[in-house]
Amino acid sequence: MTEIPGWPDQSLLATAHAHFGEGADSDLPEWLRFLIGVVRIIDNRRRQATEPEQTPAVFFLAPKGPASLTTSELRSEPLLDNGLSELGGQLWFVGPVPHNGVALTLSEWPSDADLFDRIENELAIGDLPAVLFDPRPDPPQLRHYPAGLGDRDRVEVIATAGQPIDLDRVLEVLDIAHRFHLEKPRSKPESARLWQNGAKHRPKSDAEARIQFILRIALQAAFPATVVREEQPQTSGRLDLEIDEAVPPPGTFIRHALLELKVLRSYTSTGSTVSSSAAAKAIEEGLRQAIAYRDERGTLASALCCFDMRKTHSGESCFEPVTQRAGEQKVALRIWPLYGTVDQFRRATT
Amino acid sequence: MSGATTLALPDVRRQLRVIAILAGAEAAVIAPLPARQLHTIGYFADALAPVWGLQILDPKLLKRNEGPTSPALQADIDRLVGCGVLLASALRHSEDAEGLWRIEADYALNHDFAAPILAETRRFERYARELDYVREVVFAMAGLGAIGISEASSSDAAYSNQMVDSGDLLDIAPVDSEPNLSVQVATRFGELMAPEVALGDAEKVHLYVRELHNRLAANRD
Repeated sequence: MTEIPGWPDQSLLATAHAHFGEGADSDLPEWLRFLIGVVRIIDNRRRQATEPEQTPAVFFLAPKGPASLTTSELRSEPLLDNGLSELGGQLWFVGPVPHNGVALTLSEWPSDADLFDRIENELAIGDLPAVLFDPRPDPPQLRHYPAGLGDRDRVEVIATAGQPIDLDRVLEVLDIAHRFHLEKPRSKPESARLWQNGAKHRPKSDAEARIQFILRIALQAAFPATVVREEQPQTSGRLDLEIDEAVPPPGTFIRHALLELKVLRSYTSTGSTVSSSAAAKAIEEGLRQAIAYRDERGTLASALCCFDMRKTHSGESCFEPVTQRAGEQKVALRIWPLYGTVDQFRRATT
Repeated sequence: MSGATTLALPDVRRQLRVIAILAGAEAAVIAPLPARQLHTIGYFADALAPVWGLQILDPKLLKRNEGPTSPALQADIDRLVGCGVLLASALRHSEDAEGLWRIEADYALNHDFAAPILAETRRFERYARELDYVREVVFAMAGLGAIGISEASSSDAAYSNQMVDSGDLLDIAPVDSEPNLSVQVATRFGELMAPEVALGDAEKVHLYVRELHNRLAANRD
């Protein structure tokens, strides 16, 4: 197609760059869209404000506002994400895509202890997913409380836009995702079920896609200022996961990391035996893809990530045929074991 | 005596779309929705449906200076209010650009009735996708603000097509023809970003609405 009369391509490209990633999270859970949206609000505010914010603000995933407050106590703020609204000194109640919000303005910002106490007790909103923006430290901090401020120990300090993202940090996120979401079988939600029959070591036929989605969520939550994309087409194939960020000038992107994912199997979902050479072929192919896609896209770092769903886990010995080449090409190699039953996990780890 | 009536599937789908728009409006913190905004969002949900591979439900509409107004959509709204699925508030009269008086209201969902409808609809993958799509349209348009939503059609590629005068019939799903202009522009985003980035369907909708926002802002300056 050619340029559409009255809709210059230059204008469309500028819009696409300025709003890179909006809508890319449409299939992600609401708590994650909320986190991404709040990070965007903070970043837009940082760019638009004539003076830096001085006072903290807390954002809650609660589009209707708290039940403990009447609508007359809340102030409506349309276009909250345009960067022109002062954020500090307020409790914000927003939806999963926070263009708009309602706010409770605190006449005086309390001490941290009093703030948490008021949120948990007086307002009874300690269980709402929340993001606390604190401009007081240098650099300013964003703290994500996925289970609410009532669960103070469950907090993640979030990287804001422009922060360097290195491969070690990315692989650390995958380590955590493996430990909590992949290592042992899960029954809920259905999308997290990886085994057709765990006792017989039969992965689901779409185990790769399921693992990929779980990792995408984990990476997006760890790096909400970026866009984590799946299945981006390439001339030489289709890459699995990539972490992208739009940066000035328009049309410029940083591709922080590219991950090729492989699932190693002993059996198919229906119980057919998978040849022992299939794993070696998958690893060889995965390394080739990790190198080719990284070079084609100018990605800063790449890794081959294998998820071992075989009857017997090999550990890193399966990488021996490719270790030298991976080192020369600076592609990280990782493998994580997955267990089909909790008993398998216990036997292997005790 | 049973008062049940059997509705044709297109009627059911249009009513589901109204419910989905208002559910999205709540999540986007823009509910209750005035009638004008509800009709405008309904129009965009129709016009951009092919971006998601979905069917346009109301392809022909009368082009009006004040923006899209669908008699079929209003009939759906009135029926849903009558059933108690929608709540109407702030009833008032207003005179439109053609000097006709109409009853206006703000609309919100009655969750006691709407929640089970939405839950049941989500069980069917095809209709769950439609609900997701409408929700995304509402989320995107919420970024325009109340005035922006009301004015959005004036910048919309298909609705502002100067080949169709106010008072004439606008067809946003011409048979054996290219997709409507709005769909073409949304799709163009994907073409321009390729091969660097493969945009998803939701991204194209959001970017198209952001482009409308830029045009509305430029028109005001």
